[in-house]
Amino acid sequence: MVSWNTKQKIIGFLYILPLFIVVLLLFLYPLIYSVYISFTNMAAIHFLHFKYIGLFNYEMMIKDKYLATLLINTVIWTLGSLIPMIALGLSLAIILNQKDLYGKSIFYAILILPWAFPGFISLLVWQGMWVDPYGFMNRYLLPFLHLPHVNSLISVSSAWTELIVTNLWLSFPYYMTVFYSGLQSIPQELYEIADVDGAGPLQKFATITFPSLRKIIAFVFITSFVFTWNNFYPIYILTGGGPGIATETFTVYAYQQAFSQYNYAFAAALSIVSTIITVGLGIIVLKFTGVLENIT
Amino acid sequence: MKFRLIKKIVRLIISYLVLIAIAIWSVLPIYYIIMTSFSKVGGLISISIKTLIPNHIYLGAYKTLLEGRFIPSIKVPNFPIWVLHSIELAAATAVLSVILAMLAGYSLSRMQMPAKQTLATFIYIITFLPMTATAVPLYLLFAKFHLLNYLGLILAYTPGTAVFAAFLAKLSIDSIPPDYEEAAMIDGLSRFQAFLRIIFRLALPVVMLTALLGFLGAYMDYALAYAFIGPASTKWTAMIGLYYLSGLFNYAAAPAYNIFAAGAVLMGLPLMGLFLVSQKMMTKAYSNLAGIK
Amino acid sequence: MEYIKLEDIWKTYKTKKVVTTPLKGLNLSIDKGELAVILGPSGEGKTTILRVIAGLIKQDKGHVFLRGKNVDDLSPKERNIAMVFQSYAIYPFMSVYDNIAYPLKISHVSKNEIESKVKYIADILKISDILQKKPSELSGGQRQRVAIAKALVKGADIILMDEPMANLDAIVRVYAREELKELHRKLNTTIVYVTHDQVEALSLATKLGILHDGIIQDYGDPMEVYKNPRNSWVASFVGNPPMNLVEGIVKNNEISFIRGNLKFGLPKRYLNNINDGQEVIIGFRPEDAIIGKGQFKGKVSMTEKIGAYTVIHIDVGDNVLLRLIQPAFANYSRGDEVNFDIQEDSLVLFDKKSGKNLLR
Repeated sequence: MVSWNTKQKIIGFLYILPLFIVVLLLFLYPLIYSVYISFTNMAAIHFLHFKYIGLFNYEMMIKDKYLATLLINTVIWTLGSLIPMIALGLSLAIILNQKDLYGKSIFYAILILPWAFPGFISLLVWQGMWVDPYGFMNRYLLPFLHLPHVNSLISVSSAWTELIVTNLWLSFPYYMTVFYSGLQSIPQELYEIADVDGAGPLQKFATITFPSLRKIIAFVFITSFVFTWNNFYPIYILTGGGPGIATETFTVYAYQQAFSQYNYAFAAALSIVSTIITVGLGIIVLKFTGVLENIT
Repeated sequence: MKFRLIKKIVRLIISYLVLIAIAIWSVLPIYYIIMTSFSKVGGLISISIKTLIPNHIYLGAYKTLLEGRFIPSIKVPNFPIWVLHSIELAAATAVLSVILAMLAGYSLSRMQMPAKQTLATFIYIITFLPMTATAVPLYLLFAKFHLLNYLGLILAYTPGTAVFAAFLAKLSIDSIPPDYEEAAMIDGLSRFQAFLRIIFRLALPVVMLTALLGFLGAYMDYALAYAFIGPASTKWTAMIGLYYLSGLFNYAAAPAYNIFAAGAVLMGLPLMGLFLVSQKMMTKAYSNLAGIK
Repeated sequence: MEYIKLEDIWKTYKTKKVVTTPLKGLNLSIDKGELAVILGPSGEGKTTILRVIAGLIKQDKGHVFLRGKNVDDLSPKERNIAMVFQSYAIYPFMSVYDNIAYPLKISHVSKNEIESKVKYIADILKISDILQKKPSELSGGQRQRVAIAKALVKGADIILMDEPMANLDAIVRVYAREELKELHRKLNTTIVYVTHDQVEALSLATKLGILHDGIIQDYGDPMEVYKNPRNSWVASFVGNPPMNLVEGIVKNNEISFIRGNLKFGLPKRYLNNINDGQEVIIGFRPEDAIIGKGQFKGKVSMTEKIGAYTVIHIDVGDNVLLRLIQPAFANYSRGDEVNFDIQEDSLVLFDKKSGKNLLR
């Protein structure tokens, strides 16, 4: 007879089983399947009669410089997005955190709108705004600010500008919010003591604000790094990876290879590489943030 | 003394200038699309500075959006049917996410099991892969099992929300004294009934949050939906519809730009509301479960 | 008749790092209609006993009998018992009425019957006027009544109570105790009540059980447990201040302290239960001494004025301290030499090795 304790354990497993099965079937199994596909020549032309071609897809990725290009692009995309976002978010948080500033909540309510408005729709709107020469940016705003035209179809630097400016618009409110709540949790007494000691604003930032926020900045940086690395829509909608493949990242390129070029095997190989990198980054996140101790 | 006052005024002036500049930049695209949706302009080329100044409100774009049949093969007004599809998908995803997340959260919180932590870690790490990274293999696999349809989409959307929500649910159930279920079991419920009737009710904020996240996640998706059902315009969702209206599939064949603008506003504002609600609930949930960071 | 019987109950909890065994072969029989209070130090498995009786957890070994029947394999709802939790477990999302009605609703009792039953119980517990309120609007005392009402409404003849008064104010608690006693007399249900509060235990119980080290150390009439505890641990645990316990040795029908120079004759009732030369523990209650006259001498080393009475610590040599209770006006101070006596009939002797009461 099964003991009561064992029965309780089995019941416990039964509750978690549905989620476990879903995760296995929808994450692990597809992953293994795509490993298999990546060693074949599966594509639209031989969707049913594909054959094993070994490491060919991976060799092509390295030999034809795809891997290097995608890696460099993804790093430019990730760091190029993150550094301005964190800088702007932190600056705004510090500005909003001034005691003698009136209308904080109104500004805050306006400043989080870009984050609240559905990102996909915002990107479609921005895409229209960037069109050269009819779009709003190139026709009115850039000339008004005496800035040169931005055309992502022909210029690589334009394409990156467009991507990073738009992504900054989409994401800075998140960083502002996180840093703002971080700043508010710093005890006011610390600043008062510093005042008594005669510290200036810069000294206060260096000795109180920054050290108090260091943990939050690290947390935000690491988690956002993974998120931005895999972020799909901005590039897909704004530049489509162009000009050429100058702004393609792993995620976007794999998607296009599969669903525009029907080059499934190569797309699978790209996904595998991207997955390995993501999981690696994910493990770093877990190590650094200690999320697991909190959830188990 | 005077010097300090000047310093303060300069600091505040700079602060306000920065805030006002960024605020204008934040609102501009949203304002621009709202104004475009109320205008008569048919294409990007005819949008002018005048469009941005509200002199009269023209609702024609909304009328066309709601009644128009842009794709002749669809026998009913296109946009409403796409929205309906999205709502169905999103609602099903929300329900499924809630069920999976609550069951798993209950198990993680209440049950004594060997290897619980290993299991939890495994589930957590494996969902680190974003849906777009697994989109390709998922597509290939679902093609094999005839799941390139709504069912397949729901299945693909669910685990992401469900895993995240399962850990939220776990933390939330941790904070509910077990006395409540035990009392219910003595009152005459089985453990599962107590879970359904008591725990669900007591963890209602997390249940709602999960449902909302699941709904938004599914509703906002374009990548998977397009990969799975892209060619079949009769089955499109609201986001594919918007993508089409924006002219990105084929600029020449797309309807007028103010119709896209109307669609963007009609979808964007309610979803923005839901997002703000979910943010509020999330902040509350996190502050209740202090010690996350 | 044994209405609740626990036979050789063992229970071990395992968590990642710690293994605890709160119940180690516990035996207990409770007769029908008793208000049995289980008293024990915190964290020694009092709640575990209730959960085992209720069927919320199952013992690793041993058997539970309710109303003469083995219920080991029955679920909580099949055991037909009611329970009042320390936290009261009143659902915050239901009104008081719905909370009380809930057990009936689950078992599909008709609406009219539910209403009459809830009203009847509410009347007994004097909560008729708060039935429509939400639990968050209630005071601690009201919540406790609601919890008890919920337990009574099912009509279960066995009610388990897990420190239901722990969350009440001191004054409310005194009244709540009296009302519970009254209620018990009226309904004649069998109640198992666990607490770590001595005063509560002694004043409520019709039968008192002492839990320690995973077993019931003593069970019986509360005054009997107090005056004549089964072993020296119970003697040291029950009562505040607890019993004086001093090591002694029996020789020639006389008992003498091993340390400290006190000596007195062996009470007659022990003559047949004791051997010459046996080492014992001598126990007597602080209130069973007379100060100011008598055969013994000692030096006052400390006085504690509690208010209603004064505890006087008397050094009888070799650093052996005895605690004696005197009326509040007693006026002794440190260093005073006093004479005192111990009432012979209140003496309890325990075997030194086993700690067992030599007469029980």
